[in-house]
Amino acid sequence: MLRDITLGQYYPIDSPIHRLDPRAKILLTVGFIVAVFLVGSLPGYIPIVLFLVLVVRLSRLPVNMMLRSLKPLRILLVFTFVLNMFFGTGERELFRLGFIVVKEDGLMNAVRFSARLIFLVVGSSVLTLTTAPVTLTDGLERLASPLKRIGFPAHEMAMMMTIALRFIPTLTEEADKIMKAQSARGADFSTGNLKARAKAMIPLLVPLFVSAFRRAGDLAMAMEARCYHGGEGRTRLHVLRYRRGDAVAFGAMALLIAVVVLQGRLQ
Amino acid sequence: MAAPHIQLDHVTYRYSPEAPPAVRDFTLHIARGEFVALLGHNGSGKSTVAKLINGLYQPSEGTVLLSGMDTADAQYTWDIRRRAGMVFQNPDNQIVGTRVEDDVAFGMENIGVPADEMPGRIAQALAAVNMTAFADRAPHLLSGGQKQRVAIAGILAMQPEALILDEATAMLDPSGRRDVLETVRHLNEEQGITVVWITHFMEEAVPAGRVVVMHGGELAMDGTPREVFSQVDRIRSYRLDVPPMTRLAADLAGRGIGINPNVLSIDDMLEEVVRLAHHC
Amino acid sequence: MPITVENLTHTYQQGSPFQATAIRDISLTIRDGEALALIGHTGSGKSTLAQHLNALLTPTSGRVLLDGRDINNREVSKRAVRFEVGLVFQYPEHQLFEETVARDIGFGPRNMGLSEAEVDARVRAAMDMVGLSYETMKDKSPFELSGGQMRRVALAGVLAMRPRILVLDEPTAGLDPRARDYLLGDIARLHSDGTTVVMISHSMDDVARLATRVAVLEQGRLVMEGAPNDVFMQVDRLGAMGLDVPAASRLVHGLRARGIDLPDCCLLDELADLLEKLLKGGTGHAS
Repeated sequence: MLRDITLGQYYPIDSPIHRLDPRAKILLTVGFIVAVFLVGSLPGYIPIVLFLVLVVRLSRLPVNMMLRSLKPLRILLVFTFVLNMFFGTGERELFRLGFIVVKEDGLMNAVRFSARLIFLVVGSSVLTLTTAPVTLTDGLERLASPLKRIGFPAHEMAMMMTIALRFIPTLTEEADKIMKAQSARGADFSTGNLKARAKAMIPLLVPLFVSAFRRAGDLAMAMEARCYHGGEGRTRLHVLRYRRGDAVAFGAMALLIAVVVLQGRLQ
Repeated sequence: MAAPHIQLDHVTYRYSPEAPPAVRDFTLHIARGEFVALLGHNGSGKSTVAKLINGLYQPSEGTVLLSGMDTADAQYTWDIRRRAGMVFQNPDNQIVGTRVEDDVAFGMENIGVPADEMPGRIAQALAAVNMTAFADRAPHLLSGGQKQRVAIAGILAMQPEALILDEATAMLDPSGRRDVLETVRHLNEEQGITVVWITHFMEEAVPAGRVVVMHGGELAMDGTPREVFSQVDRIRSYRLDVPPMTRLAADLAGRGIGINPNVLSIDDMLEEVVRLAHHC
Repeated sequence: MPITVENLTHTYQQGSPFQATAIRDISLTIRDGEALALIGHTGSGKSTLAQHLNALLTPTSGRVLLDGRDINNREVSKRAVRFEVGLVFQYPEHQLFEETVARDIGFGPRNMGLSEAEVDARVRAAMDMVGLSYETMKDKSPFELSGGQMRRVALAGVLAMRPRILVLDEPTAGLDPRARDYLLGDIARLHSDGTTVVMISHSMDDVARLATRVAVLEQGRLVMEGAPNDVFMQVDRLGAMGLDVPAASRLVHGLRARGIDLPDCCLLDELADLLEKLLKGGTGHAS
C-alpha cells in the first residue's frame, strides 16, 4: 500500500537543525551554496566538509540517509569525474594508458567538480530532510512576500504547493486503486514495448485526471464555503519568529564564508 | 415570533439559463436551534438548497436570508459563510491542511482571527467533536468519520450559528455515520446550533425534529418524522425509503392487524407488538 | 469447489516501519453458486481478502486455489484468473475512462482477445443484465450519466468478461434508495442465474436480502461464519464488534427478551409473516 509513504523526504525527528526557522534554513542553504562556489582550491573544501559534518551531526540524521540522497546522482558523478579527468589541458602528465592521458589539472578538476556536486546535494538535502514540506512552503512564502509588491503571487504559489502536498497521498492511493481495478479487467501495465505501455496507461490516466478535476472542484467549493478569499486579510496559525538558534546559525554561516574567502586570498 | 434563522422564499435556481430549474419556487423557514432533515433522492435539488443557504449559489429568483442577511448582497457574503458552515459529502475533498490542527485553523485564518486566539479555539473545536487526540495527525490517515469530524471542527472554530451537512455521511461506514450524527446532535442540543442535515438515509432523519422532503426541485413534504414517514406510499413515490420499522408496521396494517402506523424505531415496534400480543 | 482460501495471511509493507498485517490465517471455501457476504468493521481486512481472490494481491503466506490450482503459481496466468473471478471495486464508476459506454464495457472482453463481434455481443448482454438499454446508451459518454447509471456501466464492464465468480466491494455505497434497489436486484438475478457471488457490505439489510452465507472478519481474522439467520441472531456479539444487525433480527432479539419467542429471522418480509401469525392468534404467546 502506498498510503504510508512519507512526503518529500522529510525525516521527522527533533534536533536543533529541525527547530530552525524555515526562512533561516532556506537562506542558509543559499549561503552554503555560495560558499561552495567560492572555494578555489582543494584545501578550501576543508572548512566546507567540517561545516557539513557539524550540521549533519547536529541534525541527528542517519548518515546512510544522507548517502542515499546521493544515489540518484551516481551516474552524473561518474560522468563528471571521468569527463574532467580526461580533458585536462595542463602541462603535467600524471600517467598514460594507451591513448588515454590523464593530466594533473584534469584530475584536480575532476575532484573539484565532483566534490562541489556532492556538497550541493548533501547541503540541500539537509534542508529538505529537516523541514516538513509545508513548513518549507511557509518559509518560501514569507521570504517571497516582499515581491508581492511587484505582483509576484507569493501567497497563491504557497497555497498551491500546500494543496499539492496535501493531495499527493490521496491521489497516490487513488492511482493504486484504479490500477488494480483496471488490472481486474485484464489491463496489462507491465509488458509490451514502449508504445504499448504508453497506451496501457490511458485507462489509468483518464480516470485519475477526471478524479483530480472533481476533487479540485469540490475543494474550491469547500474553501470558498470556509471564507477563503485569497491572501488579503488572512492571519496565520503558525507565526514564524527568528530565535537565538537562527542567529547562531547565521553567525556560523558568515564565519564559513569568511574562512573560504580568506583562504582564497591567501593562495 | 422571532424571524426565521434561515429563510428561503419562492426560490428558483437554474445552473444555466436554458437548463430546467434545479430548485423551483421553494419556500422554507427554519427557526434558530432547529434540527431539520432534508431528504430527497439524487437530483431532487437538496444539495442545491444547501449551497443556496450559505451563498455559494445565489437564487435565480426569490430570496434567501440568513439571520436577515440577503445572500445576494455581496457585503454579507463572508459573514454569511462564517455563520452557516458547510460540511460536504466527500471527506477527502474538503480538507486543506496537511495536519488536523492546520486544517481546523484554515477557516479562522481566512476570516482573520488573531494568531494568539487560534490555539484555544482549535482545542475547543477538536474537543467538541472528540478529536483532541488527533491534533497533529495527517488527515489522509484518518477514517472517513474522523475526517468529517475534523471538517466540523474547522467550522466550529469559526463560531457558526448554523451547520449545513450536505450528505456528509453518504461515504461513511455505519460507525462513522453514527459518530458524525451523534456529534451534530450534541452540538444542536448543547450549543443550540441550527442544523440542516441532508441525507438519503432515512434512519438518520428519525432523530430530527422536522423532516422536509424534496422532489423534482420542489418542497414535497414538511412535518415531524412521524407525520412524514407514516405516509409510506407517498414517500416511496418520491423514490425514497421509509425507516424499516415504519415499513413493517405499514405491511402489518395492510394485513388487517390493528397496529399503530406511526412506528419509527425498534423500541416503538417492540412496544406495539407486546401490546398487541397481550390482546390475543 | 471454485475458490479455496488456505491459511491466508497478508502483511502490507513487510520489513518497513509501516508494516501492517491486514489479514491473518484465514481459511475459507467459496462454494459454487453461493452468495457469500463478507462483513466486518472498516479495516477488518475484507477488501484485502477480496483482492486475493483474483490475484491482485499476493499472499504473504497461505494459498488461494481456484478449482484446486494455486492462482499465484507461476504457471497460472493471473489475467486468466481475473477473467474468471470478476472483481468490482468500491465506487467502480471512478474507473470509467472510454469515450462511450459501449467501449468502456468492452474493455475487459477486448483484453481477453475476443473478436469485435464477440465483444459487441458481450457488451449487449452485459448491458441487458444491468438493465441498461444498448440502443439508447451505447454511444453516450459514461461521464454524462447519473451516479446510479455510471455504477451499472462499471458493473457491466466486469460482467462482460462473463466471470464465474463475481466479487463486489461495497456495491451500493453512496447510492440513493432507488439506485440501490435496482443494483441489488441485478445482483440477485445474476446469482439466481448461477453466478457465484462474494459481496462485501456494511449494509446488513442488503446482506440479509442477498446472502446465502455470511462470514464475519474482525481485525484480520475470520471470527464467525454461517447462514444469515444464525449469524445475525447473535446480536450482542456483533454489537460488541461495532457491527450493525438487520432491523428484523434486532426486533426478534428484542421480542425474545420480552418473552415473545419468534424463530430466527433477518428479513423484514419474513418477519411480517411471522408477526402476522403471532398476532392473529398463532403460535406465539406473551408473558
